[in-house]
Amino acid sequence: MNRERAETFLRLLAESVLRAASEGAFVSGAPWSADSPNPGFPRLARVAQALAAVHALDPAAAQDVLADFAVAIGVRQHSDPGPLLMTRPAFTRGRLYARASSGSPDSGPGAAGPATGGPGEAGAGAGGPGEAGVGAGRRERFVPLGVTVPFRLEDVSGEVNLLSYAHTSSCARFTFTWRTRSPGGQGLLGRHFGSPGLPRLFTVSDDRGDAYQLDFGFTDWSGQIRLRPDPPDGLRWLELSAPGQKPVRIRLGEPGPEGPDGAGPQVTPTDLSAGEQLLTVFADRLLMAAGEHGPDLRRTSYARAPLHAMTAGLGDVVAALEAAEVLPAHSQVPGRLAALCASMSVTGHGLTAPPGPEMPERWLSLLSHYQRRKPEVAPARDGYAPLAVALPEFDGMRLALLGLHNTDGQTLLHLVVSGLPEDDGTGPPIIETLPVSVWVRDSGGRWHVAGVDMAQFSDGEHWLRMKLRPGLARSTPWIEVLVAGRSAEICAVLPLDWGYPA
Amino acid sequence: MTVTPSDPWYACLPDCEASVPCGPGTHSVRWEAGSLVLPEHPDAEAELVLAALGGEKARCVEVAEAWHRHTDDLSVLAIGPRGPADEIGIGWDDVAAAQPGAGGGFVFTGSYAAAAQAAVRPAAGLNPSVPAAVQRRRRRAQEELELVRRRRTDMLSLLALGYGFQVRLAGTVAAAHADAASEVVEGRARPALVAAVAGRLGPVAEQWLGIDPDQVVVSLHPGPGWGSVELTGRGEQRRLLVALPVMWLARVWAAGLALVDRHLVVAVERAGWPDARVLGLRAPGAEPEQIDVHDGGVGGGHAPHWEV
Repeated sequence: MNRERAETFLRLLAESVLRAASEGAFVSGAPWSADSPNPGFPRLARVAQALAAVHALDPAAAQDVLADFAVAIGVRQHSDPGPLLMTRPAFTRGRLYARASSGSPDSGPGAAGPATGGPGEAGAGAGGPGEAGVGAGRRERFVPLGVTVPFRLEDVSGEVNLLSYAHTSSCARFTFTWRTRSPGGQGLLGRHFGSPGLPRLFTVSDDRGDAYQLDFGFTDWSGQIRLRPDPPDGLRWLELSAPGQKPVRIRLGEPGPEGPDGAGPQVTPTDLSAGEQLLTVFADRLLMAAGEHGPDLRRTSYARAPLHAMTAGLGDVVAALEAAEVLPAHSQVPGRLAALCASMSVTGHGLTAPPGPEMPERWLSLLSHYQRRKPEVAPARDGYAPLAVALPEFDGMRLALLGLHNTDGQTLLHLVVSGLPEDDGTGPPIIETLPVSVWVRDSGGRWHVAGVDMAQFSDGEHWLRMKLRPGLARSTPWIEVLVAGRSAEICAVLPLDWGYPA
Repeated sequence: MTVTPSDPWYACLPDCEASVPCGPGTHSVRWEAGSLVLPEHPDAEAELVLAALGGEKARCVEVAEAWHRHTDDLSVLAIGPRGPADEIGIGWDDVAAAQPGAGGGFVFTGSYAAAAQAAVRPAAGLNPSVPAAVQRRRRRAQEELELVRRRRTDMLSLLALGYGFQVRLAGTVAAAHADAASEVVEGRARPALVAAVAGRLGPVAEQWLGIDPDQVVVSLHPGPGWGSVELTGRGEQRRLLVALPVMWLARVWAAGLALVDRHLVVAVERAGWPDARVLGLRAPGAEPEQIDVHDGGVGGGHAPHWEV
């Protein structure tokens, strides 16, 4: 990695953009409009984002370059430059590029920490269903549940479906979905969930007679319930009760599901550069966005407009990553990205690599789905599948899958991730920066891309909800989850034991 | 050819003067031999002491303070002019409009705005009921806001002095960072200096050879001698590879000597004003020629107009 060349690239780009802007104003003879931001700014901001994401550029240095550029533009506008001089451009806003995985910024792909365990098996104590080691601390515990707890609140009745129990190094949580049987139920409960009165709706106690307070965190129809205080290790069961209902016992001793052949997650070492990983995750986001428009993508430029916006300046980003020596000159990823853009009729990205070689199978699968003549048939009906699988550690991160459900025509996957940089509220949200690819292949061989939909940060852990595109059919008997980082691809084949709301 | 100048970098620059609204009148501010001089404020230090005791600080004194705060500030190079055609039309009205309390001056945007505004709002409300960490954060944000305010006023004031002062300040900054070009210096300044040279050399190279400024590739020449200039490739692959020392910005560009008589000036061999001897290239790859130049005075002292 060459930080000096990275910053030099950004500054030279700023010079070029400023020169072009000055010449444009000079030719037209008109003062620059103070009302419209200079179009060169987003171009610069994207390169700054990408370089900061791969740790080739300190965010403060990137901010300085952009601030100077904004002022340089402002004082040449022949209008009041005061506002611009008070501006600290928010270059992290609308971030398109995921932050590289943790570890030494100078380290190669492997140095960020390859997956625990060799190829073909989950690392001992650090992967697979049931339990996972967390160093010298407590062993994490992940238990699939599939337990339904009915409830009634005022005149609204419904049920909570517990998908999993996760006891991590920081806390214990249920992942759940919920439904009401009354049309106005969500609105009513939306007012109550999280309110001081809600914990009184449910009570929970353990096999030792200790009671817990429940903190609900959710949006729409799914989320997490955190137990306070933190339960002790070794619990056999918890009992959840709702008024007027029989207590429901939740057994915590069952191991998580294994693959159809009893195998745990499979680990394949990889060796992606930080730049290749950034571009690969960007391609995922592009495919995710493309799914919004489906078959219209090839027919109307209107449908492609968001993709054009996302890919604008991609050529600059690739050049910047090469200059920063985080993208090998012989890398095939830029060519694949160019092929992906071409297959979606997206132009204006500035990529100079010729399209090709062949795109990954999962990209082709998704493109083929998007380009079908007929739009998606009726969305899958609601259902939920318990999951609780800890994946082997890789790239300094630990991921665990906590549940899957189809709700309102969308398929949502819950995960917990630890080892990512802390979210102090000042940087870009994890929704925009998760540095891994997550894909799901269904039992019919069709691939589904996952994108972060909701995120909550707590005690060093990111609790994520990812949306799958396209959604899964409710009857899918098993899936293969692929999580790809810089140093490893982890593949877990998981049977799905679907449950359905009453 | 080795050039080891012993004369100061500004030796090719004449004195320069600007008018500054100060108190009820207008005062002169002068640049002489590398220094800013306030003829109407012979005892500026005493005025600063009075200002510290609550008196009003003269605008001229504020300008001089701003100048000294930014003599090694690389942002001056990123913001300031790239050449005589790069007009920055800031006037003292703009400076006045940007003062705190002036209508329309303070508008906050961007991510920083929220923190800054949050800092302003509770300033009077720091009280024991607010957690200490929050109070510390607010204080820090307030301090940062003050810095940004001062920086804003500084920049506008320095730009309002006009082109002559703008290039002289750029030369001062470049001279302050001249060592950063050395290979042994692990300077964070190098990227900014490369961009500063590229941003100013590009338009000059365009005039010289008709080449697109984006096809000019600049590096900093670290050792003795003036550097190198080479043209490679054809068509879109054409590149003008230029290696020049950082001091080129100060000694040559700031003095308005970059292009004289269709020669790219790469060094000043005998500095002086209004007469100097420079080394100029007729073409890339050629040996530099000695050229005696004279300021024809068209620029009125602020921007010399050199002729053979």
